[in-house]
Amino acid sequence: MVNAHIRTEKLNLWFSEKHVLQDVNIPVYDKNITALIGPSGCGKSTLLRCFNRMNDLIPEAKIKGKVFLNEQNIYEPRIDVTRVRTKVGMVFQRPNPFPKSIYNNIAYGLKIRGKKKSVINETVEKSLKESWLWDEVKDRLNESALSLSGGQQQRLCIARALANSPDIILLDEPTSALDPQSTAKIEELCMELKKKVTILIVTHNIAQAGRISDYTAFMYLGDMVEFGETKRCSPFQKINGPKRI
Amino acid sequence: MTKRELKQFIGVNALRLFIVVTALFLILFLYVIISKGGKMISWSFIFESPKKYMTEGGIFPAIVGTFWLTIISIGISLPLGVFTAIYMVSYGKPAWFVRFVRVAINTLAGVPSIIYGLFGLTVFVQLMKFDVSILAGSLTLAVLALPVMINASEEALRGVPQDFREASLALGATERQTILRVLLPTALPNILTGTIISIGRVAGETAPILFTAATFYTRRLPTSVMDEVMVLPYHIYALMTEGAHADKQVPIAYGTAVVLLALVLLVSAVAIIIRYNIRKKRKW
Repeated sequence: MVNAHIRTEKLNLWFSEKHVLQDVNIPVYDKNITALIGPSGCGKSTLLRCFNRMNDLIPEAKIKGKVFLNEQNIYEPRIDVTRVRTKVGMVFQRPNPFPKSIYNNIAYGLKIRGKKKSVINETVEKSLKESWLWDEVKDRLNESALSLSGGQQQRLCIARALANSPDIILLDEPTSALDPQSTAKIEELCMELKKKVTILIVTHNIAQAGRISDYTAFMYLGDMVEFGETKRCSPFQKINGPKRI
Repeated sequence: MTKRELKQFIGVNALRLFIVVTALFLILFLYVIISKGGKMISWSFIFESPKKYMTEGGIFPAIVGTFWLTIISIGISLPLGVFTAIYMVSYGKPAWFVRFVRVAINTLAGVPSIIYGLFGLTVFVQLMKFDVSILAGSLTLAVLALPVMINASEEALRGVPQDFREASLALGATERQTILRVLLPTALPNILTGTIISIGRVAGETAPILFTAATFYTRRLPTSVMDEVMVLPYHIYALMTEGAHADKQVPIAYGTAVVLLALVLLVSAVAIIIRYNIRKKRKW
């Protein structure tokens, strides 16, 4: 069994009175893709946002339980949230590049940490190569990131997250706003990236989870009802026919 | 023509009529001011001091006065307004305090400008002992411009998509870095729009500076912010109400009006060019 980079222990979350996550225990294994699936409103995006403490932004959210990142509970009071967020990158549902140049989008995470210019230049190129965007944008790094297509913007957001050299990347339905071709490209990219980083992806699309993930967690009404290797999970049994024992 | 088409025809043409009337007012306004004051404009009118009890000569001291009052008051109210708006948008705690500030701002926005003049007289001229000076007048105008500044800045900051803020925080930025590097630069063009409106307002106000900065007549240019100055709007008022040579004073008043219009246009144009350049760099 591989190590779990990140795992939760009896994680509970309330929005005001509403109990959104109930005693969730989920491991996210190193250098694997774990998919979170389930119907709308089941709490999968909320669970994802617990891993980089983005739920801190919502004043009504109350969290109980533990989330371990490399055996360190990130909800301990003395934890530096900004450090957690550099170790845990995030890509959102809608591509959200800053209204800055392509270069400055990737450089953002490094600039705010006061990295040297030479390091930034190197990392920008490396991250863009890792997200398969380099050849498309290398001649126009100073153009606005918003001049890119939707699929390119989303890969830019992946590159921006990679520039922080995170241990794990959270993807929140990253292809739901994209066309099929761009979607396929992002899926392929995920398969490639898992050699270097751990990936946790929320998706509406069960077929997508089946295509790319190694592990799948099935959420329903704030409960994690099933977790296991994707090929053994029940939703895919139905797609692939009954399991032969 | 069917009944529906007829209604459409009447509707569209009614709208055309309205816009023509609006345009007419605007053109008429410019025509009246420029036809009566345009012939006064010359280098000596702009760059000389008034002579012979303001019946001859130029208006240079008034231009300088209005220029400094506008620049300094915007220089004070812009940062104050922006920082206030940042607090209200990004932190907004405690809620009752922010609500109180907002009510205060909206009340201030509705106060007649002459009352600002009295306020400035009491606080800046007498209490803080700035006397009648550029400083006292600028501060009074800054208070006047503040509500517009805050509202425009708040509007601009709220217009920045939440996505940008989340993206920045998710990359490990602090709240401060997010405000300085993402929120403010993105909102800047719209903040500048508010500034442009304020410039026009501040440069043209007479009442707030009546008791705080303006002097009736001086040939001297200000040497420090503690000097009293001539200002364009008050100069017009003085020319039209004081003195015994109406035949000579009235054309000067209209000439002054043309210069005031041009000055406001000039300062606004600079702000618009700055805004255009920022927008060009970061369109989305």
